[in-house]
Amino acid sequence: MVSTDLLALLVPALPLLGTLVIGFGRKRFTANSGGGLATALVAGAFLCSLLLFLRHDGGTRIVHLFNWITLGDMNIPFAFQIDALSLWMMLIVTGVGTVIHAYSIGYMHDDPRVATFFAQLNLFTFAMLLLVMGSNFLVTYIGWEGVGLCSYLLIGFWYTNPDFNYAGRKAFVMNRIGDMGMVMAMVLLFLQFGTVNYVPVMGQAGAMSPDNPLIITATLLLFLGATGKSAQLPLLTWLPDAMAGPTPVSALIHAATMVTAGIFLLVRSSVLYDLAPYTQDIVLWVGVATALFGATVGLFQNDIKKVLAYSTVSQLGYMFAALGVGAYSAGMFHVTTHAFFKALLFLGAGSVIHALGGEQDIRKMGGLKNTTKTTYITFLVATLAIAGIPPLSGFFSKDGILAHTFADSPAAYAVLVFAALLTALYMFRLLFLTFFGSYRGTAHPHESPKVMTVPLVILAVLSAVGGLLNIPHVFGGNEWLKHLLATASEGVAAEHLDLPVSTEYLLMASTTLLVVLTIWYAWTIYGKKTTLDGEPAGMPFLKRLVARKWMLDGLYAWLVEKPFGWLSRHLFSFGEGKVAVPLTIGTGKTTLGLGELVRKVQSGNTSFYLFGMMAGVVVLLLITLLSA
Amino acid sequence: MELLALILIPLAAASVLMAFRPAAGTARGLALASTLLTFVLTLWLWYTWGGETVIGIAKDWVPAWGMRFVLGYGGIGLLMLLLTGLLFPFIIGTGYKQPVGDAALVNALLLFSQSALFGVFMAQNAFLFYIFFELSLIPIFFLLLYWGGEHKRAITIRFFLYTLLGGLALLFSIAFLTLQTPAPHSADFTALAALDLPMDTQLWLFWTLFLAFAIKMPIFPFHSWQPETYTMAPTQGTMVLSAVMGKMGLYGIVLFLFGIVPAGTAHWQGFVITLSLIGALYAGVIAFRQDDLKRLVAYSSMSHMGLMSAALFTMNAYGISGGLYQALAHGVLMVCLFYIAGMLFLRTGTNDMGRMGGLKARMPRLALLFMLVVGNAISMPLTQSFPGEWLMFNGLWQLKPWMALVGIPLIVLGAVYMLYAYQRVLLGTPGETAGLELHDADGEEHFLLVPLIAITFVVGIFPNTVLHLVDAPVHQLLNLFPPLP
Repeated sequence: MVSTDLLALLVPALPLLGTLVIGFGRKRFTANSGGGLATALVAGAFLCSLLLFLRHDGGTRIVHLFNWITLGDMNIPFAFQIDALSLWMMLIVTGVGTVIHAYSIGYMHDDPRVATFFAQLNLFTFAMLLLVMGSNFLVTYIGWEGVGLCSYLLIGFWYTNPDFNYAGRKAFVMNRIGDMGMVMAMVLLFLQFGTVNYVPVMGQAGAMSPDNPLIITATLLLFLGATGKSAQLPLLTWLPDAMAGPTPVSALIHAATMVTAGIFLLVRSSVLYDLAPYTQDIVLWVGVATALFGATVGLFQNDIKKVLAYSTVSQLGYMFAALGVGAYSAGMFHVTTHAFFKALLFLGAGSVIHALGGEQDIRKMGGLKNTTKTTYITFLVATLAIAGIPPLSGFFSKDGILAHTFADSPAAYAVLVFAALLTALYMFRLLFLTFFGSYRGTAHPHESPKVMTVPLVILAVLSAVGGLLNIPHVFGGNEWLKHLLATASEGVAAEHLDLPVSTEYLLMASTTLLVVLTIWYAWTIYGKKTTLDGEPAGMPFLKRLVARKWMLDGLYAWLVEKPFGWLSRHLFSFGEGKVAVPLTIGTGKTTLGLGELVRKVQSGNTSFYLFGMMAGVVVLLLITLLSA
Repeated sequence: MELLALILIPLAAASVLMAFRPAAGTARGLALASTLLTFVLTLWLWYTWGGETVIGIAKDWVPAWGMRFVLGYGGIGLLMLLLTGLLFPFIIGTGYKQPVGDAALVNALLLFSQSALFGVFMAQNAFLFYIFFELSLIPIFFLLLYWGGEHKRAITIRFFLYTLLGGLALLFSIAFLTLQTPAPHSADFTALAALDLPMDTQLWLFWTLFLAFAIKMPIFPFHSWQPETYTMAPTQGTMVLSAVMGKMGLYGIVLFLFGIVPAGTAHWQGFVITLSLIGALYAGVIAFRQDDLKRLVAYSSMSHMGLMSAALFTMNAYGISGGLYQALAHGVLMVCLFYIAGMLFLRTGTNDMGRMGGLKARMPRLALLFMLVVGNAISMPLTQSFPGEWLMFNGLWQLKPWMALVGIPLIVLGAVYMLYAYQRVLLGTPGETAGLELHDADGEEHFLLVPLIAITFVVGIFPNTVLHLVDAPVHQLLNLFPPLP
């Protein structure tokens, strides 16, 4: 038997090994060998995670590796926390990760830097695993920054395109803006509790009274970090731009795993959030607003990946809304099902892009259901799942969020339902425009190879049946996932839903009916379309505003980027040139006068002066030593 | 005797180089051997260090003025000795691929500077400290004056005047302090630290002492010599200045301000921290729009030094330890960054990033090395810079939360200017210099950069190796400080 500690160590070690081997041997690895190795290693990590999961007895195990930062009374260990929450995330990361790695073998097959790609993808997996496995905030932060850096590298993977590089930097910098909150929260918690280990921090915090200003500050700061990593308002504009990366990257990093890190962090800290109702309200409404934002903007996107990106933003908003009402397990459930169906949607989009030789504009697609059959069927499954059609996975996970929100805040519920309808609308718009009607482009569509379609089928099955993980009581289920997570999270254990069964049925039935109607409506508009709407310029004001992403990018350019560039230039030309240098010792008259002095020194022979200098010192030293 | 050897070995090697003026290869070989020998010596000191203050040699010198020749070290001094010992082989090694001027002369100057720097970090007598403090700079003046870039004379003069100003203030303070000691006067640090100076004296003495160190680091607004000097000095000179000499400022703060005028320091603490943080942010903002890669690194250095200075002045365990730890990290980082700037200059003939771009296609290995260094520059966890940053922000928050909140945007600024620089140099469409014959980083360059990068990871993963040096000494220091109000 392999010991539990060794298994836990192997999980992140395997992808790290892949990074080193493939990275250093990148000239020798091909798509098949490099990609194969990378996939095998992540699959190995998945198997180790699975073994750990099967052996897991509902407890919390700390795997201590070494003391990382020790100073006086500060001791921050490098250690892993193996409990239901981290195990669940490990399964998602390595499971979906394996599928996406395999898919990449086909997708990136002809890229000259394919080995580098797999080295970076493995590095990402390593960092993501550290993030979820860390036994304290600081180890999580290693992964947190690591995934950010990998995200930066992979968004700008095709580095000759300046726009892609800009997108990568934008992602990293916006994440760092959030990280300010994360670092400050960690400092605050450390100085308060004398440790950043999750177990003692949560233990000590649990004994504190609610609405303690310290807890409110810490939760707000942590949430700032989460908004950056998980693309919530106001730090979300980097995620759509991140679509510049290769599509498997979008699927793995910008849909299934990294962007859910913020949700994971809040669930990890659920004890703190349950003590801070004030922060919870903010989390709820930021989530609700982001859900609506993403869903509205998604309606007007014509790039297949951008539609999915705004959809991700919107779905992440749902997850935060769930956390905001204390429904942590509902949030984690949606993390899980979303990982399945959104990864599937992205990989399906990648398959379409592959089929069309790189085309991403849905205005130049159409009628692909006949030529790319597997892609179409799996994409349809994912679309139905995200729209919330029973009995697919998305129905259950979204319903959980909606029911909890309804019990807590009917207003938030109303907005989320509206956003759910928009979700159905933009998703079926995408589906119809891509796969129905007649082909509007000029390429020769063809189905992708097996190495790409098999992953689609696997994810489609998961998207279809993923709901089984957490069947609610009203359907005779036992909420398996919730009970699992309750062993690791006090927040989950404290969840409760006070809704009469009849109300629950009514909510579900009405939402489902509205969604079906919306799909029908989408069919009437987009089902047989052969041409598409024009540019935003010709639209009425409100429509134009939404189509232009609520002007958020423009707002940031005007409020932050331009002023910052201006400040940087002028601090240099004015602050340095006109103030600091002249006011202190400048190049002005003083210098000229004293310049004469130096010139005399300079006119001599260097060696002579140096000799003089050194001789003087040596003599002094000798006098000292001999005088004793 | 090892302590004296640290000063004499480089001095002897420099003398040989000056006297015999051997050919370039021999000169570099000798200089490298000498620095490696001193590096091994500093490692030996580290290995044998038992945690106490070691006095290696103590002789009377000019008793009438309280001057004694006392060499020794505690944990903090040892950290600085290690920094000097570790980095000089790399600085000398830089000359192999990026030669400047007459090899014998240049290496002699560098070694002379190293000798004085060792002296600074071992001196246990304030006068002795002062002499080494001043001596260490003189070779750099010559480097700058003879082999600097544009406007080298004006820049050298400004640099010289600044140093003169700070040095005179320091000399005056030391003389004053010595006269305060009971007869026969002594300028030994132990004697000066035993002075219980009245508060009003400490209040002004703080400034005459601080001026020298503020200029040396440098701290806003005493920095105006720095950007141009770093930009225009030959790479090796810039490395000595930024990686090692700036640390004399940090060391001086601990030695003089904390040790001798703790109450005065505590009084000015808030003001100096504010100044340091403003300067750090100011330099971080300016760095973004620089076209010259060396000047960008110069401003980034100033930004980092500002944070270190702020952290030191928190006068608490996390802040001081973090600041001192970061001194080593910053030294390694500066050698790496200036070396890479030098590699790029060697190939493109310019430091202007506007003329670079798209170089990664031609130099993928250089791009990887640069990225690894950038990771350290932006304090990615598991690189050397992160534990220091973490400790420093803890120190700042512990003193006053708003100080940490003012300083925290630095982690964003660092990412903004470093990633922008990386992109402008290596990514995007090929710039005008991409057409030149560019060869990728070669074996020799790897030989220099890879060990340094390895150090950044090893220390980043095991920071305790460095932290244990400062832990006990910092706690001793804390006992000197007046109780917090």
